[in-house]
Amino acid sequence: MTATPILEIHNLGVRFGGLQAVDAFHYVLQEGDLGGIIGPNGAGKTTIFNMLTGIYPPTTGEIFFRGKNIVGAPIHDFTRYGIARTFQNIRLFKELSALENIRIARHMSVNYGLFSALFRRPSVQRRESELEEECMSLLDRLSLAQYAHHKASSLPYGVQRRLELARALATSPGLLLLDEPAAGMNPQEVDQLSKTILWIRDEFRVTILLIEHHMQLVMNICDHITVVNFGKLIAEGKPEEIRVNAAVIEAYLGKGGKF
Amino acid sequence: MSGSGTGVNIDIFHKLKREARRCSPLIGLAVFYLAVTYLREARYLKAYYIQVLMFGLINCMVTMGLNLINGVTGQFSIGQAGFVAVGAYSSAAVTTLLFRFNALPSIVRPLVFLLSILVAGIAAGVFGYLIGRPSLRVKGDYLAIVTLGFGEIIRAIIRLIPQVGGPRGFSGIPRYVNLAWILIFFALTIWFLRNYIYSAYGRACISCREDDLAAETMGINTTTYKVQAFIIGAVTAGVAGALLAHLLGYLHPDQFSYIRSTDFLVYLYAGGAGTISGAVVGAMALTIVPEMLRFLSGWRLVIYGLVLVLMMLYRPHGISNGKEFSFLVPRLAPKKTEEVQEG
Ligand SMILES: Nc1ncnc2c1ncn2[C@@H]1O[C@H](COP(=O)(O)OP(=O)(O)O)[C@@H](O)[C@H]1O
Ligand SMILES: [Mg+2]
Repeated sequence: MTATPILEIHNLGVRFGGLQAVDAFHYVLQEGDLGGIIGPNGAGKTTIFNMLTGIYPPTTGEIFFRGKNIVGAPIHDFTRYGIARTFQNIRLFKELSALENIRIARHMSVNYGLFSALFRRPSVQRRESELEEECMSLLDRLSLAQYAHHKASSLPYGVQRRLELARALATSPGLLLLDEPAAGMNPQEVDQLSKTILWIRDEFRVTILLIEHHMQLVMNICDHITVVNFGKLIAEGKPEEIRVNAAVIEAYLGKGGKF
Repeated sequence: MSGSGTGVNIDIFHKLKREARRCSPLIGLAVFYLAVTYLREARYLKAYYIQVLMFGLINCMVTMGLNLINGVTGQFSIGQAGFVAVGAYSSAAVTTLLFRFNALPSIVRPLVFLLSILVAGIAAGVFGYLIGRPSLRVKGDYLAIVTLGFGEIIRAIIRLIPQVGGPRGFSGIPRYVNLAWILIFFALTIWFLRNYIYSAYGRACISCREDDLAAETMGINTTTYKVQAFIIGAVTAGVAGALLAHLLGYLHPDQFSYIRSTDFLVYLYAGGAGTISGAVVGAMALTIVPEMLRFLSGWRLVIYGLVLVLMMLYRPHGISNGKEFSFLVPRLAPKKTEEVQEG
């Protein structure tokens, strides 16, 4: 067909003791797409993300990123390959400033060696100055510059979410995974977030896969939607197809429900 | 013409000012050394005080190493005295067993002494790796137990080596170290550790402490940095151990028991874990204060303990309160920072 998909998942599955949290999951995401995964609580969505970032080793299946099977790599290599994520429960470096959070996320772009660092050679000085500029400019692009020197934990909830997004972007990812980015937001904020996500896709040229409970957000911005329940894929399609899919409606609202 | 000339002058002026600021800690240290030397010559300072000062500086070095492991990287090691022992014994073995130091011409003595320090650093670093590597599989309290066991094993092994005196202790080590040597290595320790901590490497260590899963998802190989912190922390302790050996002239395995490791922990947490300033202030204060309390004899330890308890209650972030002395924080090129502040 066309070019290699950026992400291709085959028969992915993981068991936790007696619980098959994800089962025979197949998925394909094309470069530049904005995909959505929805499903009730405990359906296994976050678990899929955890496998896509190397946090849980799957019991079955393969994950192809840009054509390469990356199952079994250590977590940091998933990021090196170009997969970045945010967490459902924000995981910022809470005690550090917003700027430090971003600086740490730019770690992979640091090109000086240990000995240069120990002697603080001019190359270190130079790189650190550039780095500061890069980080400030990223914060600025996400309207976070004013918080640069604030401790992450002291920031309002919505700002923390945005900072976590900025931190993921700081790793220069090809694929960005967002785990319930709209959690805890009011309708206005969700509206703003929709715009932000679309803007990020174009501005940073990233492919985005997001998990969301918020139907409106998913229906509005995703190119296609995948529905999981009890660890299994139950439906897949364009937003308008999912809206009227019987299995989806049943999973969410029980038999006879309606969106 | 004249305009640009003034510009150049101002540039040079700023450059000089920056260089002066960069060097001021060194100048301060040199002035301190000269002052202490003068006061001793003039008999205002008893040799005993200088002895305490030298122990204090060595303790500072050990504590700065521990700070990298515990304070910066967030591991919990309580075997720091073990690394000091490795450094002390291996360097003493070089000067006493390998070379007969006192029989050497005085010109080569400093070289042999430096060699012994190098050996101490490498030996301690190897042990840092050996202990840091497997202990990655355990966390928190369990790691503490592993490192505790390590320290005790070192002590037990030393007792089994007759060449270094075994349980009787290692005597006849040349007492070669003086305040100048200690100040030089103290300054070097601060400089290297500051450079490390305020670089991408140090930031990676900090990210391990803050949230090692999140750090991994930033592409940081947390294993590498945890082991690296252990190695550098151990090397620092080893070098300090080498100085200690050649200050005391005598070593005994019991000097390096877990009780000694606990002392370093207390120095660090009382001073303020996570910063070089905290490590230095804590180790220095808690070396000097008990000496000053000697007149209280039996009550000394009671008061010392009480001070610690009160301090932890009312100043949980230590004496330094989590702040770094500003001269220890490297500055970026000033022009760029200005631009950034506008942005
Ligand atoms: N590390 C784990 N150990 C055991 N069970 C887990 C683990 N992680 C997730 N689970 C279980 O897997 C199921 C799916 O969880 P999750 O992926 O978090 O759901 P969600 O779709 O709400 O994100 C849940 O039943 C959860 O309890
Ligand atoms: Mg979830």
